[in-house]
Amino acid sequence: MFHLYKYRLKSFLKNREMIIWSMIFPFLLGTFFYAAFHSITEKSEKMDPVKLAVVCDEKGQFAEFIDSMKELKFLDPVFVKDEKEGKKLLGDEEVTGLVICGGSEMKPELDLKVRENGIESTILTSIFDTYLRNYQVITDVAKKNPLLITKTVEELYKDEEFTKNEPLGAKNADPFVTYMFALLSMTCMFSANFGHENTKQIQADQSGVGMRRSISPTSKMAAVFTDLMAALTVEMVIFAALYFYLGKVLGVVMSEEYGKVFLSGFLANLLGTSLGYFIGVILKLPAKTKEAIISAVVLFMNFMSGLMIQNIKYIIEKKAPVINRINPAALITDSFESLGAIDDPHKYVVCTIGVAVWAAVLMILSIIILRRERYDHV
Amino acid sequence: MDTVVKIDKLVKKYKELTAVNEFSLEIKKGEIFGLLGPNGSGKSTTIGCILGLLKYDSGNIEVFGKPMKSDSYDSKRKIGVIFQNVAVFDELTVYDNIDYFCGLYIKDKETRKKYVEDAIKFSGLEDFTTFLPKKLSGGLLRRLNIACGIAHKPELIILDEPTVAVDPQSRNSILEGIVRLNREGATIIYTSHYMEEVEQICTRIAIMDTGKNLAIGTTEELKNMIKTGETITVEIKNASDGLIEEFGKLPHVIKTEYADDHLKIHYSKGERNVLHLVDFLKKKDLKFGKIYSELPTLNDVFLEMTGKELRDKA
Ligand SMILES: Nc1ncnc2c1ncn2[C@@H]1O[C@H](COP(=O)(O)OP(=O)(O)O)[C@@H](O)[C@H]1O
Ligand SMILES: [Mg+2]
Repeated sequence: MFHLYKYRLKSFLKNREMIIWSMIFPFLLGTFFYAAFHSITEKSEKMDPVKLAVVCDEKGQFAEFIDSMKELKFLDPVFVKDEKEGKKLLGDEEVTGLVICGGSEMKPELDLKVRENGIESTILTSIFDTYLRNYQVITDVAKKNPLLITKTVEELYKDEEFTKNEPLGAKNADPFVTYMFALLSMTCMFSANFGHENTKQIQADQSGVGMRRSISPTSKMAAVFTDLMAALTVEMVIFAALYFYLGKVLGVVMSEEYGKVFLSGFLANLLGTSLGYFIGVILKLPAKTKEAIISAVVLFMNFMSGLMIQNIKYIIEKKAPVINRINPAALITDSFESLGAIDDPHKYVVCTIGVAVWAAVLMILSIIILRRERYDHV
Repeated sequence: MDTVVKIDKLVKKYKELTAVNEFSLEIKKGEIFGLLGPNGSGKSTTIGCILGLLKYDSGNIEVFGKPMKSDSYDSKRKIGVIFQNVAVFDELTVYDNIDYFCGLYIKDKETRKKYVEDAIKFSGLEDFTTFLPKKLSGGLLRRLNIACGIAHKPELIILDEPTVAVDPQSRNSILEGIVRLNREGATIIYTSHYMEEVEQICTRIAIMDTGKNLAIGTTEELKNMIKTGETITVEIKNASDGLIEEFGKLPHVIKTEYADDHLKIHYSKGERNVLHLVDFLKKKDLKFGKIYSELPTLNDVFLEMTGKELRDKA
């Protein structure tokens, strides 16, 4: 077994094209984001607070939140009495955005409208994203153990203190950090390419090597296992390198609970690899086409989880949150985020389980298909 | 003698196309069995079915007396295959490739090390062990492909056109190697569309065309199956049509062809044809140049059975 693992690993490491693309792409994007956001961060220090029209119950919790944002000089809110008035301000370019707080006290709903997609709207999105997320923490805990509320609020408050001192590099969901986690998630999802490569080398109708292995007395399970472990080894090394690059070089606040980070990274890469396996075994198409499909699927999932436009995730969270609970890329992003940027153990557990379930389902389906006895053609 | 492979009325279709059609065959232990047929005749498809890689429509195949299943590990362990297309890891060196594929069969480290070295020696790759496949010439790559297929010392070795696109020197060493493996005890199934090779090394041959088994036997037996005996060529300048017709009436002559001052006379079986021909030439007082006789080849066998040439017109 180890023998087979060793050589499969070796063949991956020597597959320069594959390694380079798996490494370069996330590192370049990370650095690119860093450069882009660095200039934003610098600007935002001098930048005026974002002008925003707010429609809400002025005594409610949301109003309190808006006030604290005002104190932090993130927002320059104008409380208006209804949507119409707010839209007028938005139309007259008096404000950058309009937020309407609806729903109940227990389950608030935020409707954010922005004038255009730009830095300011990104900031607005991230602020309200954070609000909703933290709000959920409070209510979740409240339901289960009301006595804990005070403690949780205290925790959140501590965070805010932190935020005051260091507005954007803080342990909080600022756009840069969110992008970086989305990037980390994308890297794991792109492990699909390794999974696909493995399916090429194991199926008799995909490659000569696959034919050789199919006629050998080594079982399919042993072959899948050694291949998978080899792929995961490479992926985890790339993951670790990227994790430390983002954390130590680019200064993103990353969790240092390495056990959990390893677990999340492992499961996330397993999910990505399983996705590649699944696409590799279920589609009867040329390898190049499958590669293109993998890229499209991964990028789409990551797009939905906020890789390119952060608002997307916010919009989905509001309109159809179930998508964020299902989308593998969003689950991975959230699991990293709840570990690093916002310390949210409950969410971490939920997302991690979600990732594990996805990985298991895709892998098991792939193995079932792979174990078939004969092929239509080779 | 033990039967190693038994194929009974195998039918394999690719959608509408019937690639193998009611094909039957029995291969005995110790044979070098040649499967001879032009490109597209269904050789590789048959091999794929024997190995249990391909689904087939009907028929029965037994290898070492048992049907092949994906978990027929005992049978699989005894088989080595050299596929038509080179099947190796592009990223692994010559040594690593052989060691990997041998490792699928041989778990014991010491034994494997020895086997891998044997395979390297056997295929003459000693000087290239650290090369990546893409750095190897066509002939060397083929030899690597062979080494990967036989390193585990299989009892049954299946080679699917191992000499395609190989220089004559490599080709000879490959053919010699196959004979050596056979002498060491392996049963060989060898497919090719080169009749010379098959004639040279195979103890028994099946001629295959459009998925059918046209004939089976030793080279001699196959040649005896056809009408054509020898072909005698005479160099004669400006022979008239009337004269050629007279040649056609000589005993045992099946047909004549005249082109570029060369007269080709095809004979059915018969003794002393050359002698009779020379007598006739003298009697007619004809001036002739070179005269030579060729025995029928497998190409003639194929030609007569199918009306087509076996050689690919490359
Ligand atoms: N994967 C495939 N799909 C459809 N037709 C195929 C496939 N593979 C082979 N064939 C057809 O089956 C016939 C036999 O092919 P093959 O077994 O490769 O012949 P050979 O090995 O003798 O050259 C050919 O007509 C070929 O075109
Ligand atoms: Mg073939």
